[in-house]
Amino acid sequence: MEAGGVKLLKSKWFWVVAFGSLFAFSIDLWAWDWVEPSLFGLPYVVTYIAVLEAALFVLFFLFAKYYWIDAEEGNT
Amino acid sequence: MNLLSVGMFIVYLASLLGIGYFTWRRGHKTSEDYFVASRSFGPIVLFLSLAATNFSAFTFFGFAGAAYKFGLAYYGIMAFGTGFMAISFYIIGRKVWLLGKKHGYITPPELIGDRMNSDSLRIIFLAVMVVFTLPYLATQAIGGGIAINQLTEGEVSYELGAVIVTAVILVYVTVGGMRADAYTDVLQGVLMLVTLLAAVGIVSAGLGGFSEANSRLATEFPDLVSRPGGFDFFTPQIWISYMVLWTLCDPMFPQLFQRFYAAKDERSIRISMIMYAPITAIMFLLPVLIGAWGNLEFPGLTGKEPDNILPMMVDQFAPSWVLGIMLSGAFAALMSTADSQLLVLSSMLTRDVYKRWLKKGASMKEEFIVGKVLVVILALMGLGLALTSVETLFETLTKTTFTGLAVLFPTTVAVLYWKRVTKWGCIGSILAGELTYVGFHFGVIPSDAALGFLTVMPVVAVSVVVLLAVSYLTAPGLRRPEGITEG
Repeated sequence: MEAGGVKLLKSKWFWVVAFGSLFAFSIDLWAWDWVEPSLFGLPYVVTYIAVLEAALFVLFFLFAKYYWIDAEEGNT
Repeated sequence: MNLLSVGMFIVYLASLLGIGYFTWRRGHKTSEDYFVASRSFGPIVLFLSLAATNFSAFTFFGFAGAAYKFGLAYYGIMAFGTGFMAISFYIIGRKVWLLGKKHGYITPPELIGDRMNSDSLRIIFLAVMVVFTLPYLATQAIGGGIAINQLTEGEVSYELGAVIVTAVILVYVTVGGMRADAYTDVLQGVLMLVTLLAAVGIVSAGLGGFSEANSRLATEFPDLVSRPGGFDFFTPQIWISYMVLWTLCDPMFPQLFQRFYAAKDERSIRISMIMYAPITAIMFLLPVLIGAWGNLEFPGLTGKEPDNILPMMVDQFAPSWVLGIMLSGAFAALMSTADSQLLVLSSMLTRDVYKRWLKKGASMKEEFIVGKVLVVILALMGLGLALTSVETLFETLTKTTFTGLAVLFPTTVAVLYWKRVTKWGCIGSILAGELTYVGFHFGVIPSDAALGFLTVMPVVAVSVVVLLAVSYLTAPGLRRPEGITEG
């Protein structure tokens, strides 16, 4: 029997929401005029996008591991 | 002319030719091998080939120039938009690979036309891809000519430089096809990353350190570390538009689309998708940083001058032979894009024109020979465009490429997933999208109608609406079964 977390990661709608949310976060209108430097003197916007890219990497990894099943294995 | 830097550049070109020879020895004389390497690429070759093909000379010079003018926020719309685009490796790439393997497809129009059982759709899809790709091929030759002219400090003319770059690409693509194309991409992808990392290290050291350079930029040019940035470029509408643009447009580049056919298995496509986020996160930051920092050393550049800010900055802080290595990185970027464009154009003209209309019974070996001849003809055409004055047409087409190709996205996804789509819906979608774009471009439709967004937004919206409406209004024709096992 699959654990609840793994079952969730195999749900199409989970991934629609996950990727949709990440994309929505990339449009950070709430912080449009933030200029505070963060890591290594880089402005907020660069660090924020780098964090989103890291989150994207994690999502892609989990998506590939739990949702993307080879068609040759008989399903999707 | 610095002999060391020119010598290193010659070694680089010789390496490409060596790879071409090596792949020629491994190749088979069939069109499937020549155009998609017998569908044999594992994850490393596929990933680096996708990345190197996607990142052109614009990644080197254009990003730095734009960051010089608009600021560091340019990183956001380029890096995240392109990284997110890799979701299409699942949505489009996986299905394209499965269908290609099952039905022997080699070109994008072949798949779209055959799935919908429509030669008209196939031709329209082909025409859009060719019209928006051929000028880009010539652009790469122009970039190569300029870079060689710079590398040799004017001793080799721009024209001869363009000829040299075209000749080297022509040789290794002609002899080695997709395999040479992708293996050289591996070398070129690594070279691009290494040279850009080195450039940031050299320039930041020259500016007093990485943090110091950013601190100075924030103090002396505060608009370049914030939004809306220089020239008030980053409006919310522009930000949203770019995020959407890359997702729609990049997978429609025929040279990227065709690479999905060349994958050995789904695992190769999966790993390429996973790695796309980190490569865009790192690779795109580097030229953007150098470009923005350029304001600290060369303030007040105007017109097209900012496009040279990257070599100017490296030249400012490093010995001249280092600049030669940097320019090799730029060559890697432009050549890895040009060779792929050359090959995919040749494959489309071979399969979608020659084999479909001129000689239906052509064998794979015959296609292989025709493909090679077309590579030569297309390379000469690209060079001819680069050496003659057709700038108006040229600039128009290259500037419109991204949106022009994005129009194909709704049709592609519908053909792959939507059972109710009809060929008339697809044809209507493409024609309506392109006509709307022409209307915007020539001012027939006022730019205000886009509400501040890039025109790709209303153009693709029109494509989607027409696709849905016409498909529901027309009777579904005969569609070929997919023949792949999935639910």
